[in-house]
Amino acid sequence: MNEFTDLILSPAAAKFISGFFAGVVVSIYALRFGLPAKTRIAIRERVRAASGAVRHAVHWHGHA
Amino acid sequence: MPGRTNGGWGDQSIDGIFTASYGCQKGELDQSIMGRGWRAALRSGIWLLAVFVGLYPVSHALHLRPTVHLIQLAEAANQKALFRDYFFVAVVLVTASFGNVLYCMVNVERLPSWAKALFVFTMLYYFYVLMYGVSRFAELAEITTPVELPELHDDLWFMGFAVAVTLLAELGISLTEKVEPSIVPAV
Repeated sequence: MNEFTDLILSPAAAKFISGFFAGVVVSIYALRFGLPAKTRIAIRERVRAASGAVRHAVHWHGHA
Repeated sequence: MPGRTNGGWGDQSIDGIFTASYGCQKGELDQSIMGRGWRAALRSGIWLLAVFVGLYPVSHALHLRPTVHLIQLAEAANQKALFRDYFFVAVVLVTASFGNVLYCMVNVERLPSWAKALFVFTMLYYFYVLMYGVSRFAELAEITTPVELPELHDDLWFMGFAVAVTLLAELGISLTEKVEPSIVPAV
């Protein structure tokens, strides 16, 4: 546990984690403002369909 | 059949009701509200001011003016074992942005999906920055010699990413917040 804490609180890990989150934030902006509206809506529909399918599967698995 | 009372406004048209309520014409009201672009520029300006104010103590200690040459400033601070003061600017900026993001998440009724995603990731990241920032500051405060170059570079990358995320979060707030006009009924 202590070694893990030392690992994630090291400067090298901080650089890596910060880079990852900065990449995610820039990607969100790119998806929102860098894509044509049609493509963005198509992606959103696919995500909604996928999340709906997962929710449906979890729901029926819960009833089994 | 009795006619519609128009909400107690008699025979006035919608435009008339608008003028009576807001004290100006519709077009004038639209122009009086600051646009998103201006609000984003204003917020970015305040953010930039916060960066320079945060850098002032370390610049003062090094007998330098606040400058845009941030890498040289960091190296100079490191040579005099003052890198901890320089480093803490990122933590302060993240703390300020943390409050702004939280307030926006609570205050805005219907956030768009992209803003929700942005703010959730930002908040997760801010938790990490506060944890790492405070522990790293405590570590740096005990060091009396300059930080080694690889570690200094890692910390500068971390600071750069953290500060960039705060700016993007502030812009996200500007793009999603809704400013209602102050309604002063005409007497």
